Amino acid sequence: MIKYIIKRILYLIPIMLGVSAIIFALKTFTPGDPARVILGNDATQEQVEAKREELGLNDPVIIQYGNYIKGIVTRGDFGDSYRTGNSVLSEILPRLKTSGLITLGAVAIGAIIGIILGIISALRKYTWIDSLVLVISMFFQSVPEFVVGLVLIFIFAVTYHLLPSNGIETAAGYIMPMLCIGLSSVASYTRITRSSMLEVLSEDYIRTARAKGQTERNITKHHALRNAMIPVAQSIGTNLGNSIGGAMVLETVFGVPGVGKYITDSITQRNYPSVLGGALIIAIVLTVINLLVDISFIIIDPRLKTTIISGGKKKVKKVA
Amino acid sequence: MKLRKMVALGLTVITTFAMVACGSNSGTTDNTNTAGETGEASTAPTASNIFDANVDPDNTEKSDEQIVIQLTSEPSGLWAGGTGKQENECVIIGSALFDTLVHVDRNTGDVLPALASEWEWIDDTHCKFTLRDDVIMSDGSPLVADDVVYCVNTWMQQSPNTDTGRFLSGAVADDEHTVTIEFNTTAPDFLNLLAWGNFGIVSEDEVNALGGYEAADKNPVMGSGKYRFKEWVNGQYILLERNDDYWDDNYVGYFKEIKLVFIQDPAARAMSILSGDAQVAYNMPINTAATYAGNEEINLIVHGFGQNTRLWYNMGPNAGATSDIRVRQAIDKALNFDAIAQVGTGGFGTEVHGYFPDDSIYYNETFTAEERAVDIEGAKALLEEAGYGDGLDLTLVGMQDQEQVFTVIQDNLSQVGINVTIEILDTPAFVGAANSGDYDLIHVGDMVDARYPAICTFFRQSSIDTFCIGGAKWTTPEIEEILDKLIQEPDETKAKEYAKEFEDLVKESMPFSNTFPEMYANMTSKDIKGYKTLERGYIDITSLYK
Repeated sequence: MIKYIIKRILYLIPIMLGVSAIIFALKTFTPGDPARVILGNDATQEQVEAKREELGLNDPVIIQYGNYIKGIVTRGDFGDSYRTGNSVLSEILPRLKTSGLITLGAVAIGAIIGIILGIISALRKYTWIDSLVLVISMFFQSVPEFVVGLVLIFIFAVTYHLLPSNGIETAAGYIMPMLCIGLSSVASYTRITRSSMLEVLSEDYIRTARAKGQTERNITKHHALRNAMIPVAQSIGTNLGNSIGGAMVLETVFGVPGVGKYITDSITQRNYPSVLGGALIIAIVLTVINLLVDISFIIIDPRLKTTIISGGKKKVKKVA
Repeated sequence: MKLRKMVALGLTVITTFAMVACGSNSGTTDNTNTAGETGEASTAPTASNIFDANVDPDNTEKSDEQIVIQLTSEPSGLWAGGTGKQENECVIIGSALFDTLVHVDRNTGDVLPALASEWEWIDDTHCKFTLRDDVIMSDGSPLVADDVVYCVNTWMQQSPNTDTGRFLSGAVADDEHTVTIEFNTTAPDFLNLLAWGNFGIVSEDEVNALGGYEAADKNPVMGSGKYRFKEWVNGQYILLERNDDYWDDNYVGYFKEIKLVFIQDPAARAMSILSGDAQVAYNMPINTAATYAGNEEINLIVHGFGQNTRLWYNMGPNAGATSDIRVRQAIDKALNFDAIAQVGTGGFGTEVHGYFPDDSIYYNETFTAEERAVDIEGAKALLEEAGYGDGLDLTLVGMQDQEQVFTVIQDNLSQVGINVTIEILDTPAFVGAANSGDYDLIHVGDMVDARYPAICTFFRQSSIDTFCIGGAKWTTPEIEEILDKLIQEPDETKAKEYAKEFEDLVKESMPFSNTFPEMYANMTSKDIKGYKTLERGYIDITSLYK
């Protein structure tokens, strides 16, 4: 297990190199000079050139890339924001906490609603309730999150004044972003819960339980639900990554100072250290989340230990 | 059965909830009202909730309330003069914190006393200012001439190539309350420039106590403005507090606190006003704002700011077909300026007939309405004569906020066989393309509300290849000469004549076609009054009241 965790952590190296290489390549091909952005429209060409030199932008891309990676490895330095002069890490960490809170809340909301709907759907399979649940969950999956966001603002902030329309100064400010992202993942949880429940409900031990005279409530609660939750738990892990992406989009709509808004603003400002730092930190976070999810799979279902750790390859003993 | 009933009941409640929500704020567009307030254009959206800026009387009462004002993006600092920054939000907020030597009446253009009670031009380049003796800075010290000298030196050092520093040569304290500022060129309208937010006065002691330029930029507890800096929660808000020791007894700040929040999405900003979470949404896209004409829950403040946009034809070293005047004239004839103005101003403005805005004292009607009329056959004949009878491909470079305008231009020019490829770029890419002259057509404006030494930089050879964003990349010695006269002339009647000469000169060569006046659209909650502007149409966040 320890060996597996170390191996997964080592995977971070090629991932970070890949992400940073892609962004460095984009930086090279994207029009717009960061030095011009920093100095403003009135700066002379000489000043722009001097600034480019100061920032190392005139060095070959491979040298710039090497210096950047060296800074991360030797000093944990993700660079300084062109715009504010602050360390990128110091700017991102508080924003990461905000985005993380929204993501966790969104996953919780999506999972709770999705699991409940999935159970109802499975227990009332092929009825109008089943169809209705499917339609509702598909609706929230189909409508873009920012549209749902604006509708939620309109209902809860503009009309009923129940929640703030933007910002996270109070805890209430987190509710709509969480709800918005959570609703978009309801469909996936509903479908997984439904199919998993249906599969479990057709198992022999469920039939045995019924034959022994157990109530449907008991069967659902103690036998079916527990076993049906394994694939659902797995999907919660994988949905975390998607939800972080959703949070990044919605931060602009809800005026949330998270990593997503930070990165999108930085792209517009050609603030490459912030874009790079943000992307790398997100890559690290996602990799760690995936690792934790895999470990949680093993804890939930020890049968998966061999599959996950061996990557699906089973050792075959040679018979002499 | 019980479950079915419960589901049906639940759905009914949710549907009712949502329907009521949608119904109570029905329709954001209602142009049927007739009490138009701006009244500038016959075709402008007319509704009783549309107002001009700078029309309400000054506030007379104080309250303990807080106002929330939305800006589009968070600034990286708040002291433009000390760091050479150009961010709009930095100047807007800084203007509330740091007072300037003079103010400008944005309706008349008159220069008014502020920290300087009077001034006198000693010669063409030296102006002597007498400072008020009752101004108290944030640290409790009185304003003295040395503070102005420190600021002038700071502007020159920190902003040597922007309008903040490039026209200054230095300053000398004649006594404790008299200071002489030296400029490096002649321009009577320098006084107008000194009212800009970049020229806010702070003291050296305040800056040093805060830890120098960069630290003061982030935590600007300094200056003698109408409001004082209180708190900056990065990524969330900036809070200012009313300065109850402000020197001007005629100014009364209604709100005890001003909270600045930063939201980019226009729809989210509008809803924030409607929900009551914010009271002002500054600088909304004008076409978005136009959809709220007639919505009685909000006010729309729509105003120009001394800037006309133009479609520039590349005549520089990279120019293609547009180097031929017949092509430029053909394009001018093919364009439907009325339609372009309608789209570009959300219906609030009309086509412009001169280089200067029509409310400027230097305005001349250089083009008649007949000259602005669409003439397809005339355009085709000119293209034929220029050798482009079979058609022509041109590129038009611009930014996303004017995409609809470009579509109209593209459609107009297709009528005469010109195929326009629109290249929409984000700001940094646009600046790069505009600087390099990598375009056939480009749509940008320049501010000419006063005769600053920096006006008409598009026609200054010294700036064409350096920091000129767009333009024709072309000028002549005659044009430069007349611009010098225009800027340096003390007599305004004579200056207007020079402006006319300048316009006639450029009309002959047609390096551009005037399109429409640029306008700001802002939303406020219904009970907010006193919307005033600063330079460049920036909002004056200190003038608002209920």
